[in-house]
Amino acid sequence: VDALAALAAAAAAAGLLWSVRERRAAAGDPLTPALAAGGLLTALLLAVDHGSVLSGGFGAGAGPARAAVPGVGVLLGVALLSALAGSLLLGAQRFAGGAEGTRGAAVGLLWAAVLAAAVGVAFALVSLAPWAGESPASGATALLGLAAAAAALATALLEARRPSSTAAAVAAGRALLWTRIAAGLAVLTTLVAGADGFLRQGTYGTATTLASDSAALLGLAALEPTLLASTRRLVFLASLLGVILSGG
Amino acid sequence: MKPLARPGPLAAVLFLAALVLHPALRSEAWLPERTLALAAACLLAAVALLARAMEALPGKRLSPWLVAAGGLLVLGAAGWDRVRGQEGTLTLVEGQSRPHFDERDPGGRALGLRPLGFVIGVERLLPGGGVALALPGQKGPVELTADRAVVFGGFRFARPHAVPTGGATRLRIGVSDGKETLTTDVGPGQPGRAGDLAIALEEYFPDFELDEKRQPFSRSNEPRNPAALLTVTRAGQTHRVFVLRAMPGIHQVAGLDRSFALLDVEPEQSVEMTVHREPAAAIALLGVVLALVGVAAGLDPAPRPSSASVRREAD
Repeated sequence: VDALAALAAAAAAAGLLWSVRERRAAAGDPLTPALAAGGLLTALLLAVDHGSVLSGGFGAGAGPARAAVPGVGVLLGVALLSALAGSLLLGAQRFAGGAEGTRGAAVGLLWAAVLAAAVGVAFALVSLAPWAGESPASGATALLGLAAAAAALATALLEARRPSSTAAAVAAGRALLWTRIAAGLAVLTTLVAGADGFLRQGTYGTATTLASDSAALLGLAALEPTLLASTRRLVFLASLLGVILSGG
Repeated sequence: MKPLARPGPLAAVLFLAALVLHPALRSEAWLPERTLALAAACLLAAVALLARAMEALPGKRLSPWLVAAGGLLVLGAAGWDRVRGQEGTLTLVEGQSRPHFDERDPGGRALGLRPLGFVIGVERLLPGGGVALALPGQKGPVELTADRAVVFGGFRFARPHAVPTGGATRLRIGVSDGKETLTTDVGPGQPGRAGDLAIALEEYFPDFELDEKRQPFSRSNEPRNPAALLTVTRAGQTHRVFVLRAMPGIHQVAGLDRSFALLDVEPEQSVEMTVHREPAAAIALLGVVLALVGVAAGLDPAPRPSSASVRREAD
């Protein structure tokens, strides 16, 4: 029951995120996700390997087991400067208003950051491969985090290229799809909770079944194309998390 | 019916039913006539789903019809089980049998004894909290554990757990003359001996307390503060001795020159289990399966805008 509710919650969270994106695409700046993703990549680049990217170096592991990876520090340094500059430009443009010309430069800088980060991460992973299973390979986790942030930034930049009406329509469709998947999983959770209660506790009317029933009803309510879509999807997500936390 | 089929009212009705149904919101505490309100909210939700199905466009009716049919079946089954089903508890000590259980209503109020239609007994207690049930027509005992209910005669027996009866199967008594201490075990109808003393249990108090009139009574069946009144016989003379586990030697009896202590207690345990009879459970299961198929049938992998977003775009 817990696993199903967790899957449903993940799908509901996806539906909620697409729902929020739909609203933003319809009414707001399409580059806002890129600004957030650029900020995240900057922060990760500053934090990785205890800030050694700032001095143009990079390595994995600590002490005698540390393995320096030459060249990667420079690439990640370029990515850091580009991401920082692009995010600052976008942020400044948003605060100042207008100045459309700076948007192109900011987007270009953010793409440069994506490219430099991707090449740097790929090079570092290849260089660290011989240490697989040993201490220096533990730095691969940080590199995967960088790769995820760079991928998120690239996705946000690609999304921003769509016309806002198209982006909103696509986001609305995906929000509906994920919410419907989550609602289906919530109904399945009810089925499993009821069967489990019947076989183990002698009744299908257990607290877990009732909580799952309630979540399934909220899931059906979240599918309706009416007001407060994001709020309804948020309540649906909260109810699924409630099923997990109650120890379904 | 038509207004209920609109997305806004339908979402509101489903939300309301979910609110009343959710156990964590404890609607029974703040909602007067909660059972009636729950039934009304769920009925309204089912009718709204039905109205939605009836108003659906041709070619897109399968999903809403399946969801509506599933909702109606679940509601009908739950209502039937509420009215025609039974629930309660069955309490038995080892070796005891009963032909009925203590029924209670869904609100927890006692309704008295309900016949089972057969005799059920507890053959023995199992390690880990389970019990071996003796059921008619079965070759051997049927094991009932916390993880597996037992179904017999249309009833489901589940969640066995030990409950103290308030009695004791054995008390260990220490008798000291100041030089050496002798121990003996006594129980109901089972006297013991310590040297030249014959000791019998007269009364046992698992959670001893004195009332306003200084009369002993037990606050609960849990052995929190066990005490006992013993009958001690020596050379044809009988004495009554009071022992309290928390205060050994509290009662000095003139003429006996011994002190008594209650060293250990083996409380008598009974097994309490839940009893349920839900004749429409299979229909409820079918309803949930139909609703699941209905939701799955509405899945459209091609992302398309919802009508709300289309309206917003149009604006």
